[in-house]
Amino acid sequence: MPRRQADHRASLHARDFHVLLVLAGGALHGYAIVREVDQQSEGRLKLDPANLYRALAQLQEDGLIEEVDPSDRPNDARRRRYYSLTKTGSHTLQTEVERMRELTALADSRMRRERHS
Amino acid sequence: MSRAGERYRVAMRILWSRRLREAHGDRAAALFVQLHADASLQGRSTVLALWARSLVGLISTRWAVRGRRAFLATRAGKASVGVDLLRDVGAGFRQISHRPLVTSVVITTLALGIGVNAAAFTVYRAVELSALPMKEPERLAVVRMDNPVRELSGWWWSYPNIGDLRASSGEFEAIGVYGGYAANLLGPDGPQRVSGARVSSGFLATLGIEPILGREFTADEDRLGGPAVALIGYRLWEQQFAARPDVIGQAVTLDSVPHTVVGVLPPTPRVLDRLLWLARTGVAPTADLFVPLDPEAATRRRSTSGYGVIGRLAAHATLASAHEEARTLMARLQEEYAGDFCCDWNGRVTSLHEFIVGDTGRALTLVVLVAASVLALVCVNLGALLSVRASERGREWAVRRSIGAGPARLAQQVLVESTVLGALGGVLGLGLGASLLRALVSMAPDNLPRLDEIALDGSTVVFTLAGAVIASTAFGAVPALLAARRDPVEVLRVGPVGLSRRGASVLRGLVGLEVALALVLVTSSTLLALSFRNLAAQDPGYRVEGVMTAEVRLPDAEYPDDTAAGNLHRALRDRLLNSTGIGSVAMASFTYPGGPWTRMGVDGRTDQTGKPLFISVPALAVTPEFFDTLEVPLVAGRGITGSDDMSAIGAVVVSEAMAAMAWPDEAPASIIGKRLVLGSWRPFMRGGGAMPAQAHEVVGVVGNVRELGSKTRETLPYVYQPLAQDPWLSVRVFLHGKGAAADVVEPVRAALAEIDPTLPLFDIESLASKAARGSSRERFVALLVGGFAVLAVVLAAVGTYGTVAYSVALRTREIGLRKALGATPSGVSRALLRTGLIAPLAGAAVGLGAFALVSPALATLLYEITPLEAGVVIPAGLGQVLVAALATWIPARRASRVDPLLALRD
Repeated sequence: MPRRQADHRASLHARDFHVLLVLAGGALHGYAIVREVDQQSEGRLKLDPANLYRALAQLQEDGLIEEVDPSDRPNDARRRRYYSLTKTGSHTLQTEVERMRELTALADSRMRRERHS
Repeated sequence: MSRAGERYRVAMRILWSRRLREAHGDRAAALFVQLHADASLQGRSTVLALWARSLVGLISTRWAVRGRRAFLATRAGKASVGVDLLRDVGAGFRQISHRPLVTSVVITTLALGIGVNAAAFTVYRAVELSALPMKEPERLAVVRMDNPVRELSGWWWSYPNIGDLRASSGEFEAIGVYGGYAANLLGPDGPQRVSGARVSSGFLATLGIEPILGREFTADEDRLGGPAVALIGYRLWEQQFAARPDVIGQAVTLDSVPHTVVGVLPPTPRVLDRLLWLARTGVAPTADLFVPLDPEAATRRRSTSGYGVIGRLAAHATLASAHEEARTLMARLQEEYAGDFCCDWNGRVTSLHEFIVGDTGRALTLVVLVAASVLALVCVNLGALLSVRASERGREWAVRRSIGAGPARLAQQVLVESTVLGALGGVLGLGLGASLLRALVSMAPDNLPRLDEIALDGSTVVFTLAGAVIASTAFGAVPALLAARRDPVEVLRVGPVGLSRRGASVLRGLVGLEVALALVLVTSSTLLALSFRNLAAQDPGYRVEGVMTAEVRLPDAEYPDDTAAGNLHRALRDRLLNSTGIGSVAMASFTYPGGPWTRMGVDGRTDQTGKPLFISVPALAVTPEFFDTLEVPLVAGRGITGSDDMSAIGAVVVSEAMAAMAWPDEAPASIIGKRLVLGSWRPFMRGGGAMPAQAHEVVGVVGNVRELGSKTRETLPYVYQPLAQDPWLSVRVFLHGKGAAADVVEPVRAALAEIDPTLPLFDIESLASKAARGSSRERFVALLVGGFAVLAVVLAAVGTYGTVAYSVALRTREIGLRKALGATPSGVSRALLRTGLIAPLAGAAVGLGAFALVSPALATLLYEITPLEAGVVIPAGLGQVLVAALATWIPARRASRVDPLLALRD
């Protein structure tokens, strides 16, 4: 399946965006992702287990995140599964942020113009 | 595991499929336990919220489409294609139900196109394509002759000429000869009229029909003065002989002559009836009875038109070689018998299929072509409508592409969606086609060949559904895939981009074409309907309403001369006139208007070359009550009276048109007493020739009549003779009574039974229904064109709607911007209306022009209405523009409501 190219900009589902954003800070396991997303969205996005794993599966299939072998984390006694951003994932995230910035700027300038006219 | 974890697992077992549980169950449950532990620290409401969220999560992930495949595939391996497909079908249904208006328009349009094609194709196949239901039908051919010099075509060969063909033909391995036949049959239930054919020995063998009992006629029976034998059809065998096998050898009384039954036929195809109908057997063309060829046939001259010839080609022969043989023989016969048989006749051999289907097949080809072009327009509309959807979904595609969904995945979904649309349209179209077909068959003129063979069957169903799916896929999936192939970034930044400029103008052009076509069809069908109304309302010059008619045929054996026939006429007339319960009653030799065309000399007048003037007009023998019963007005002189019998001088009453034709310079009153010299064809019914001509005196002039449903504006010249002076073996009774139409004939039946119980009363029908059958072809054409007109209007409206909706979808951003910059909603819709109406207006103009071009051809089909009738053309044009305006207005109004912020954000 062809992967997205780095310079492509896309709008992401809010949940996917948040998951990618928390993973930008480093590999996390499922529970940590739910906690981080909760905090990061100031409690507006609470993930339930089923939707979390569905989102992770989708993002994995799209090649935006990958599972990290638990053996990479010998400290985790429970050998939980960790997820981290792929290169594509991190590009996607950056592009999305860029796109949002552009849009905000566009809306700002236009609304300002309208207020002044 | 905690109790909360157990409960979550129970919920999971109920809500998730096993595969989902196997793939994600453990991890999800473990995570839930952790989240539950966190939540319980924060209080009861948080725990409840977690539960609610988690249960909804289980449900939504169970049924959601998005990401499900990946979700399933993580652990349990790739989902099978079947599951994928099922899910895509479900998704397809959901997708199309999101836009009910567009979806229903797409499905309806598709159903219309498909339905029309299914019906047209079914009729076409039954009539034109499928083989005749006979043994090796492709080897059957019909032999006829043409005379290009005298412009005669498709004449039968005379019996002596057929004899030469049978003796010398090398191209035909078998030749059957047949002619029309009908007789009075005296059965246990009383007399009845039966029809069938006179056939030569070998006729049935040539067609490949074998009797189920007994045998076919032998060569010995096939000759002058041969034994009186008969073959009976299956239906008659069941009806009259209770399907008894011992019928062979029994006698059956036909026209008062006992005939020995030598065989019984199997149920024969309706094609055989059609074949006999083409041989003009008369009333009901059914293959019930067969007798040997007319014993008198051998005496007929070479120059008469005689019998139908049907041949089975020899193994080595082709239609062309048989045709060549017939031409050569015909040329030789005209040299050899120049005195008796002359001139310019060419033999012609055509396939039986061509003979039976012929012109109708060609007309149907046209209908199929029209239906196919309707389907092409349907596809154009589908293209426009589905392009709207494609561009609307362009964003969704772009996102999915950019996060990795491949074209193959998208293609599958689009294909499935299109197939769902196509299948829905196809099923609907099939239903529509079936009811169209029923309507078509019930309304079709009686003489549409092979009507009984028309039915929807498996292959049509497959053909139809395949057509629907192919059409919707080609015109639905292709634009969607093209949209999906575009660079996602561009889609997301620039918004949807439509067809190329050229593609868009092609689309607009096609919509204009649809409008033009609709205009032409609507105008034509309105004119045809008006013309049909005029035709139905025309004054035929005689009474039609409430007149019942029935026929009696006197057998030559019982009524061997004019005296015998005249006695029966008189007895019947007396009884009917004295019978109560009959309003008024009259008799004539044939149905009205009718009668054989008879050549007559106009006494005292000459043609341009100075020879005595002869003219041919229909002549009808009538009783004195005829003009009163049928309300034909007397213009001058007197009508027929009871004293105009064999002892008086021959009297004739002429119609005004006849008077004007024979004596153009004289007033009707002044031609009374003038003379016409004419014979009568009545001995023809006894197997003889025309009677020698005698002088007849014109005693009266009556008003003109014309055939009902006939588009000829001029009325026929007509000559009436007293039935008592021209006693035909055929009698048609006309009744204008008080009772219900069918009861009226009962006194006639009773009177006839008293005089001669062997005579059946048959062909009982009102003049009105006879007239309706006469114009059934016009009605059918009007209905057909009307149907296509409705279709064309719908297509034009949908096409206009589709293109405007498409451009609205493409310009949402622009419209949003305009509105953000101060454009008012009504301004936006006005602008869209203006641009959207260009194509329909141009189409309407083109349509008017096209109509002006076809109007001369249309004029030949119209009665008392001119094609360029302003009262029809202008409203039709305005109506088209109005429909187009409405179709434009709906999407334009939607566009005017675009939320500027929404449009910009997207």
